[in-house]
Amino acid sequence: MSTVIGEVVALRRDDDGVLTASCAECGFELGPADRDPKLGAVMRELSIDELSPLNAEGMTERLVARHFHCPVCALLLAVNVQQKGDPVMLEWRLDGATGADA
Amino acid sequence: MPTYDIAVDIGGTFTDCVVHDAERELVMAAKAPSRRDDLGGGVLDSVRAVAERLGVPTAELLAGTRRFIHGSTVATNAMIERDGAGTAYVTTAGHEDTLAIGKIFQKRAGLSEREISHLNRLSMADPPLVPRELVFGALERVDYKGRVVTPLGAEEIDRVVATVRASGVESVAVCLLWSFLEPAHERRLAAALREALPDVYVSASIDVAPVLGEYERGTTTALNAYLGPPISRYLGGLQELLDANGLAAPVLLMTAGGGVVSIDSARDRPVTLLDSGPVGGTLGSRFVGRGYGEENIICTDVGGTSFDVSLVIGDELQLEHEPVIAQYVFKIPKVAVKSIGAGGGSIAWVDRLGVLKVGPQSAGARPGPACYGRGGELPTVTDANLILGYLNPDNFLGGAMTLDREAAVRAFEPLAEQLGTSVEETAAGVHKIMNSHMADLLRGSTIERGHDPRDFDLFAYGGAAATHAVGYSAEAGVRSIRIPAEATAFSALGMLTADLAHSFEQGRPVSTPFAEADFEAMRSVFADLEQQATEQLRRGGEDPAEATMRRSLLMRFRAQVHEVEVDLPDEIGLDAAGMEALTARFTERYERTYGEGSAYPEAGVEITTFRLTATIPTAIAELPRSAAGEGGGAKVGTREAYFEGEGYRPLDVYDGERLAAGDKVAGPAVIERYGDTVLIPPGLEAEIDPRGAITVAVEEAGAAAGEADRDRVSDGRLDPITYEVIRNRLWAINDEQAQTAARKSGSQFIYEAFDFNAGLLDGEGNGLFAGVYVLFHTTGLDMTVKEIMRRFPDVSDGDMFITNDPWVGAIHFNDFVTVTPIFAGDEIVAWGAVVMHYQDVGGPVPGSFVVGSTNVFEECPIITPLKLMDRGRYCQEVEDLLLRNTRTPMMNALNLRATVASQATTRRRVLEIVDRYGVEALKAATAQVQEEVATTMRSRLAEIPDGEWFDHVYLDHDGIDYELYEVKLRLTKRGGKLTFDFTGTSAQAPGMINCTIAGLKGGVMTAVLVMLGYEMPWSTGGLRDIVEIVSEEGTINNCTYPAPCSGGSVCGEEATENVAGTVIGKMLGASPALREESMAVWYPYFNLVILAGLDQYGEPLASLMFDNAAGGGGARSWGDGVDCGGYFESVSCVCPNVESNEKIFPVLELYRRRAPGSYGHGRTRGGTGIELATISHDVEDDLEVIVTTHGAAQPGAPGLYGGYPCALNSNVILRDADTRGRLAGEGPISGEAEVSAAGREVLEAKARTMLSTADVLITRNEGGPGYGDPLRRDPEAVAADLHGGLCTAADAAEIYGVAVLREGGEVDVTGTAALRSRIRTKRLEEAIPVAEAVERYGAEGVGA
Repeated sequence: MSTVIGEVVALRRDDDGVLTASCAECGFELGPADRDPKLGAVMRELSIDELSPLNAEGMTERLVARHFHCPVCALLLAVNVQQKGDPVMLEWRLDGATGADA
Repeated sequence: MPTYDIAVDIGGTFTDCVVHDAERELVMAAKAPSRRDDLGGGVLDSVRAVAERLGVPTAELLAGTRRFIHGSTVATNAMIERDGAGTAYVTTAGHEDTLAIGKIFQKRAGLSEREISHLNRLSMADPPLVPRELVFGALERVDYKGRVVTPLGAEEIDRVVATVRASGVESVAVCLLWSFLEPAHERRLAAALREALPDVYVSASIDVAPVLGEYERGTTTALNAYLGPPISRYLGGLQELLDANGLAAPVLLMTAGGGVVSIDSARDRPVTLLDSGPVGGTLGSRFVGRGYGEENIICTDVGGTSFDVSLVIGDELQLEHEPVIAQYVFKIPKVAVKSIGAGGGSIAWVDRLGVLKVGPQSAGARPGPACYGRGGELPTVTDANLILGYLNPDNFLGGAMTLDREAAVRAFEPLAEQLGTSVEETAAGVHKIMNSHMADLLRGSTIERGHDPRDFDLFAYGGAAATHAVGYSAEAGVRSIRIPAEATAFSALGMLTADLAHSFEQGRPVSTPFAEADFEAMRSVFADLEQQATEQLRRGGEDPAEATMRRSLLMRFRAQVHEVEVDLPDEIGLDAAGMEALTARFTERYERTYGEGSAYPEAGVEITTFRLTATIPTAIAELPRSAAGEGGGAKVGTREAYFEGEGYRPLDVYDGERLAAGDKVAGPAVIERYGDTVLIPPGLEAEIDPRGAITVAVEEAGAAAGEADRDRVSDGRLDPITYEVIRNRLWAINDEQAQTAARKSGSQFIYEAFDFNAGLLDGEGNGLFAGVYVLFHTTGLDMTVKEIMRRFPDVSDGDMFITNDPWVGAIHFNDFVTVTPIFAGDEIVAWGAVVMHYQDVGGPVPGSFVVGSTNVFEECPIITPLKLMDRGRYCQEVEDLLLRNTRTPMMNALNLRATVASQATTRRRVLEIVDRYGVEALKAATAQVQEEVATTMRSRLAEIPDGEWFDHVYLDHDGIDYELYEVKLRLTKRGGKLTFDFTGTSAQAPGMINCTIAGLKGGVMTAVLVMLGYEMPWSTGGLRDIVEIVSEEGTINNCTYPAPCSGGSVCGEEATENVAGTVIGKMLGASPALREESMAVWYPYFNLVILAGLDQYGEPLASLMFDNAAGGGGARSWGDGVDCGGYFESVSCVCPNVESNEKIFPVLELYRRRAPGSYGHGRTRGGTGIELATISHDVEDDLEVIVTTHGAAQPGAPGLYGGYPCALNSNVILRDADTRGRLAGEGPISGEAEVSAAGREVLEAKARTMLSTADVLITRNEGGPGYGDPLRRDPEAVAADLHGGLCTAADAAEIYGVAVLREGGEVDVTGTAALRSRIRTKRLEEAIPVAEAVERYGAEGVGA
């Protein structure tokens, strides 16, 4: 029994009752459910004009598009446009007590 | 000698046939079941049925028929079921996307305010009438004066013909830009298509709707082409069938305009048949009403599923000029009919808050109400009427059907249990709520046209009308009600009163001051129209000499948008004196329609459309009076019936067939007739008039009902039924506030761009309702009211306040907020509010978006709260102050007048509730509305897991520096509480992009209401304990005085809205129950471009390019975003026609299209933004271009769950381009790549520059962000976008990993799998563990 979050992450309670987050595509375990699953993912930085060639007129030197993937199946979990060198953005965290039971 | 007139009306369940026997002076009606798969057979069945009742053989009846009129739903059904012909569409090259863009409006066309509030569910018409691959461009161009810019060459015609032939379509529509002014191109193209493709149905816009507005003209032509082949087949078959059975007369078709036409005419213009079903009843009401000397009539038709309302005013049918079918607006004058889903089959239910509801779902005819015994188990209105004793179970439909009361009771028991009341009380509540819904529509229908229901008599017909008519009429407050003897077949009867009528029109804008050349042109247009009418009549075998030619004009004031049709009688000449008389008539009629003070004569007038209607009287001169009974013995018994508040009491039962003229029936009673049962409630008396109609004077009934409705409050709460009634009334008042304000203003900003809104608040200033217009206008109203109460402790009855102070609730200086206290005695019981964007409110920059300002003193005058009305006195000195400080004083004055009128109406309507239900009931209702909103919102939140969500957006360029500003947001959801914490947001900027706390609240509340508050009252008061905002003063979306904020609406507010919408979309994605509500934000930053200078008429120009309302809808978890769907904070926004723009502004739009790749990619993609190329036209001087936008240097808003952010807003000027040469005929221009230029200037997000006559301005708006991993997108959807020009080949391959076979364009399944595999591999090869990135950069957000 699992709850899928935004079609990219599945929350499952393991045999010990601990809620974990997994890739919704391949099931790879991304970590405990009370933190952003992207912490268990991989990341690559691309230019914003790789999101769209129409972005070439933007602040390409200053901005970066961070893509977060499942390390196994490469499912794209999130895309964050940030200024180069900015801290990694942690986007969501469910309260462990209610997460998969919602 | 033929003596019969026959009318046949096909309905969903029955086909009605009415025969008028002129010799015997009688009317006879009969019904036969409609045959879905053989409509003609059903028609013949109904004729046979009536022949049998008449005692005449069918063949004899048909042979003796002089007129056979047919009203059919076949055209309407073909649209609803999308069963028309395969159709191609040919238009001017560069404008092939016109139908798909749909002026944005298409996504909400024909929907109610409640439906519109659910933005997530709005989409363009699907499937489209014409698929994009069947839209073909023709290289040609005409300008706003009808001058040829690009000639249409013979080779180009051949190319288009060959393309259409190759497409294999059955039908083709042709609609070229400005063809109604210069038809030669379109005429040649249509002629060539007809000649080369004789089996293809060809419809040209100049023959169908030659009027201004390429979208509506195009949809009308496309609809005509789509319907042409199936309607031709049906009508041909019907005539043959009836001929074979003896009919000697031609069949005439009922049109939606209220006339009848020949079969040939209907084949040419089948679009005139659309939605003609309800028109017969309106005609019948007018005809019968004349016999009573009644000129103002509300016509009501209640069937099994819908309640239709139309009006006769001053003996004239009320036409709508832009009706809607299946989300398509079409330009055919049609009798205006408003409908709601309320009828005998409407299903009753109890919502999760325990409030009783009725409809809009219906049990229909099958299975129908539970009491029909056809398998229906749900409680319906008919079941309620049976339980209450109003219907006779053994005498339904004249005894043709027996009703099962026990089944009805069984259906109602669960409802009663939920409500904790008896079955009878529940049924009485359903009956009352049904009446209340109907009364609201009656009020809305009359008020919308500037009339009061108290000035009308009402006709009720249709099978389910009689049981409710007295109730809804009394509730609405009409004068009297008549239920005709032939109520159940009244529509067919009404068709017998229609005349043969052909209407022709021609768009030809002519403005004051009129010159002799204009008069010549007018005479010429009418001469052409008369010739067309004459030819049409001759073709139909009619004698033109017998026709009455009625000339009329559609006119408007130059600065306003409302068109009013004005008759042009023969005694008014087309010369200077005649125009003066005509203008006076127009002004009088305008004010009669839109209210006193709404006319704007200072602007001059404009004639937009010339119309000629040729009528040959064919209607029967007089309907025979139904034979009345002999009187006496009509009372056939009594039975027990249940009435709300009284319980069971004896109900007299009368046989309607036996009642004679002059007989009176005192309520409570029912009058049972062949097809219906008329309920006379207690305290009322009905009388049978000489025509056999049942009449009831209901004026006193309202008062009587009012007495019964007082004192419904117990422990500060209303019972669920009274609450539902008052709540709906208040909601309708909010709709009316907005309609009144928009109607009276009439300015393009208000009436076309809908940049305004109206709100209703409780006595303490808590928001109750907000309209479906620009939402952030109303979210600061509570702040305004509370501040006014603080500053003006002596607020009095008759006061009205106005302010544009962003620190008191306005979003920026252009937005004037007016609020009015509504007193009951000494107590304020409610506040009404209207907020409008004024075009210019002064300051150094035209339009008042002050690029370059560094504080408010360099921006616009701030009007702190002032009294615009002081104890009923209009404060002229305040108006003088306001108008002294603007470049657009007249338009601003109109907005002020519209506001005052709206507020006066609001006050009156709210006090009507107080009069009827009492102050305590109103207060209880306003509290319960907020409670309902809070409970509904909490119940939705209960479906979402607790947690935290974080995101950010940027603002780029502050008007001074090319800089980035960041708005950060952490949303915490715990239980039923949402906390929006903006800590970490950038400090306020030195330039004009800041917003105050009002903008911050506006952004948050807009996102909350649009994404979580759908289909419920938009009550900020109801959310005050649910939504909490944390923000530091001095930040970019909570700036402190005197920080510059003239761009606060499209800058700080929109940024707030974007980030709030993003985190809410993410949050909804975590809910299994609400996942479908998860979507990305729509068109994040409005690409605001102002053109200034002198227009082509030599007048000063400073106006927004409204095309830029067309950004893309955010991707939804369940589907793509809406292409050119509009922006988030205004669910009602529209994008004007190219022809409208070119007429008003000195521009020529080279192309306008959905911009490929402007959206965020994803499993579901965002909707496209719009891209257009504009050159100046018909002016020699340069134009100034003023840009205020964001998202031009960085993507405006993120996608969700792997979806990409949208692409950038873009404004580019190509300097010294070769467009003029290309326009001369070298080739089409459909993209920047086709233009050669000496220079290319990319404008920054804030810019002021000049556009010379040699330059091209290309603007491209953001699409919507995407949702989900693009590699999971259905390859077929990618291929479809590729073929439709919405996705580039590079994006298809590199982002979606879709390989498409070159030949045929099909998806290469194997190649796609390989491509996607390669992309996945590459993704991982380039990636590093996030943990490593965190180590390198740190982390922020939740849990960091």
